[in-house]
Amino acid sequence: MTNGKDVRIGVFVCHCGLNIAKSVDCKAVSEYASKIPGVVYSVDYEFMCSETGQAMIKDAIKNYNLNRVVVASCSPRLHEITFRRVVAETGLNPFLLEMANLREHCSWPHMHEPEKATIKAKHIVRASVERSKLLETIGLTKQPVKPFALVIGAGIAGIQASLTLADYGFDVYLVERQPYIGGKLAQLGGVFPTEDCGVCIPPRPTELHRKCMYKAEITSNPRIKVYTQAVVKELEGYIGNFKAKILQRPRYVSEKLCIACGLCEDVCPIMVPDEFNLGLSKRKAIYLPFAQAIPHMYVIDLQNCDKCGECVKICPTKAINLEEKGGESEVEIGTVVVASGFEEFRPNGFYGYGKFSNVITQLELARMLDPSGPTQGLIKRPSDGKIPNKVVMIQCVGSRDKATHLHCSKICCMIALKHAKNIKSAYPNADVVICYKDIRLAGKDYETYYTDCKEMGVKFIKGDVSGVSEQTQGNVKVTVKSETIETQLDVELLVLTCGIIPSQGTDELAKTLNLSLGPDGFLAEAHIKLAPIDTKLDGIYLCGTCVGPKDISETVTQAMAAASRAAIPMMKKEVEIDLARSVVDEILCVKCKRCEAVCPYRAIKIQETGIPRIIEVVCKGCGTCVEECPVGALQLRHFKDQQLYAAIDGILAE
Amino acid sequence: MSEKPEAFEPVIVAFCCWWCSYGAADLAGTSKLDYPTNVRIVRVPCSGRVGPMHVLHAFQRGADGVIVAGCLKEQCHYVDGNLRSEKRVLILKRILEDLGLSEKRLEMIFVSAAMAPEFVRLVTDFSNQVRELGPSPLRGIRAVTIIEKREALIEILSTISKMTSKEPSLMLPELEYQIFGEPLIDEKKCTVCGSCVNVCPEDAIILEEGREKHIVKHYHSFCSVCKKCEEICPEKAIKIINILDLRRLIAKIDKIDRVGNLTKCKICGQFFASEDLMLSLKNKESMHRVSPDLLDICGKCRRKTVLTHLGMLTSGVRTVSSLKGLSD
Repeated sequence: MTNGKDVRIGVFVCHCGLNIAKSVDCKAVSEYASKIPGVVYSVDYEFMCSETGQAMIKDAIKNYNLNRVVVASCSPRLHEITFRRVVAETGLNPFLLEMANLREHCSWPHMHEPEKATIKAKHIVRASVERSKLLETIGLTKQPVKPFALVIGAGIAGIQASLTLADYGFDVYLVERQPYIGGKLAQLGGVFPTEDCGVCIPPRPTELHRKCMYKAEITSNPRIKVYTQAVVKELEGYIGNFKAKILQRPRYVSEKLCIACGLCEDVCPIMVPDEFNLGLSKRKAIYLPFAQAIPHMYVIDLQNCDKCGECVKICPTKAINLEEKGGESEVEIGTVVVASGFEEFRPNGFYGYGKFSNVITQLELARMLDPSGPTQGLIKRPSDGKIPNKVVMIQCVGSRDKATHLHCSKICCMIALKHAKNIKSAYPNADVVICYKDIRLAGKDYETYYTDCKEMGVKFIKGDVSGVSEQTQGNVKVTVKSETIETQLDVELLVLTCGIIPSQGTDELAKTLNLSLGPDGFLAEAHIKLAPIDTKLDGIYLCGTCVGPKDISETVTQAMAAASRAAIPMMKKEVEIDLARSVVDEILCVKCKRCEAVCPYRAIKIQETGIPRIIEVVCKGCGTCVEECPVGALQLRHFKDQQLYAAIDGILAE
Repeated sequence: MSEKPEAFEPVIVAFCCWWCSYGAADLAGTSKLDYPTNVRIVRVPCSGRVGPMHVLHAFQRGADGVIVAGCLKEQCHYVDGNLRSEKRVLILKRILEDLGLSEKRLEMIFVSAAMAPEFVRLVTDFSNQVRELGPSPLRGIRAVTIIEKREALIEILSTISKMTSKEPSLMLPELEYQIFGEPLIDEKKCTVCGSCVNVCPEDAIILEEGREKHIVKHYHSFCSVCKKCEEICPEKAIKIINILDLRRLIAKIDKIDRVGNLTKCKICGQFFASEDLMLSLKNKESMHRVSPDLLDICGKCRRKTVLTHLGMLTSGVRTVSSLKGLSD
């Protein structure tokens, strides 16, 4: 740090038209500044940010050989970038500029007290001048960016992000926890507002016809490597230079050899509930997750397998190996897209779910309505397989509710209306009642569902469901309290419209990636409005329902956006950052590792010597480590202790 | 700033974080919302950057009140800098109160960049609160110029204590801010071997070597809770705790933690190692092979005894390697 002796400071006081000059005597401030030791030039001018004003600064830097520039004008939020550029154009380091905020912090709030405002303006300028004396040159550093991306989650968001990234020309590692890709979308059957098959993906921009997922190029695209039954176990590094450890559970069936002939399934003696159909059907211990599953091959659920070996014997391609071990691969990537998706809220204990067999969720109903689902598209109530005539849906289960989750799950109104419409189309004589708090349908073409449903005779009751009790023959009685009356409904099938919650393991993933969670457990974006795809960490982006409830079109849009965000640094090939970050004084350091523990960005790594190393690309320059260091061994460039003390001295100077 | 008692206007320094509170102050300006002109803003990247020394520095330079302003809780742009800052502010408030400088002279506030009216209300209220307290007794104090963080902190706290003539009594156990510590030494386990003394980077534990006894001394004001002593202690006798004992810090009272009486060499009569260390060595299984006669004598005599026993002393061969071999 300079001792402040060789500084030649120029002070430029801006009138900002009358915005500053009306309540602050700018001439007096400039004169005051000229008398501060170290100041060799001081001037006031109408608009410092104008071309003329900028030229004044540049000329003064040259003519007076200035090495510090103080611009007393508006908030640095507005013009710090402008004046840093002006200073840089003269060859001076841009960090040798200091701004004094005379407009927002002085002339405007104190416009009725011009005398006092002028005194305060002097203090503000003095603080900037004193601080500027201790400012240091700060350089830039560049880091190369590896042209590979990691996409976590292969639902519609992850698939779309991967395809977009592959289109950009980058290699993608797509990691999916389930044995198949497609995520929740694969379970939904027909999806609104067009009610086409969920396992179809949208056409690529250059193609007009839709493709089913298994004909899409995800598994055949040479740029996309898919890891199913895999999780990201570790992620270390920083933008441009991440290392991810991918842990893959064994499938026990060789990807190369399996021809999906199904002989193994026939001989397997074990039957367990099929989780893809939410227990509405059974599957074997060796199974194809669903008819169109990609990758299209069998998988063994070893937890339920008794290793009888029948499948091994019958397999014509010798694809099965019950002793297979899982794999661990390490990949190096430049950026990460997280698309870990959602889960339907499990309403155990709500409205008799789990207790009465004819209380199901919308996702279970979706499986029934799926033509390739467990009931081939027929609605059969679980207790007796009868087609129900009286169907009631309860909205906002586990949503907009203080006891469970506060958020609105956004898509459930549409899901309920879509299903109500499906039921009415298939069984026009069936009674369908929707008990709701509010119906929210803000999406393109969504409102038509509401009018269609009303026309078809779906009944809507606004009110709270106060009780569900069992009747004879598997029926339930639902009591709904609206503002005026209490209605009792005899129901043959009760469908709970459950809210959506972050997918299982989102909190673990957040820990692995060092991301933050919002109050409802969804991953937190950097800024809800202005950076909805970015995270607190550079190089990691979010899309889809892991951020919060979303419909498919929003998810796809966001996935494309996330892919673009992830592509930007990879296309630039390097990231450039200034070095206004923390620095370590190795002599003062007592190796207590406190800094590593408090850094919110994992930007500090303890070296073998015990001394911390700051990873400058990751450090965001908050200064938390500086204050938490017990011995003062850390400093934050541009906001070092001495620089802060100088500003305090200045602002309190007589 | 001439201040007649009846027209006292307090000088307030507000440390405002760049992302939220500084923005709230900007918006207060843009919205032309009035607040006292004596609220003067110092820009910091995050309220987490502000520590006790910055606040105290403002006081010793003449501030009557200090505000640390951060983002709303849960909404810090640097994750949790504001919460860490709040912890430190709460600790410092208790210290100020204990030193006779009202804790009401320091407040932490949380505002988002959109909360200009709230910012104005909070700083105006604070200004009124400080106006009622009157001028800070620290005005005109001799400013501390020490650079070393904790030394400066203690010095400035001592100066405040002198100014207010208030005896400090604050004791904060289980401090959530790592700044001063204290080793708890298990008297039964400690052998006064001195390992901790050798690793302490801050000289917070020192060994006073006397002729007949060794004394391990510990300084609360030097301990930085690095826990190196805890890690090295062969007897696992040390547990470092995070505490702040204001009275001891200011008075710089060191505490005698452990006195170790030394053993007399059976041959030459010199004191050489602590009794406890010898006892602990004798109890170690690896030492059972060594003759107890060799353990009760000092290093010098031991060498002589062994060499004499092997008949090597007379021959004059005294290489290091041969000595190593002997001890096996």
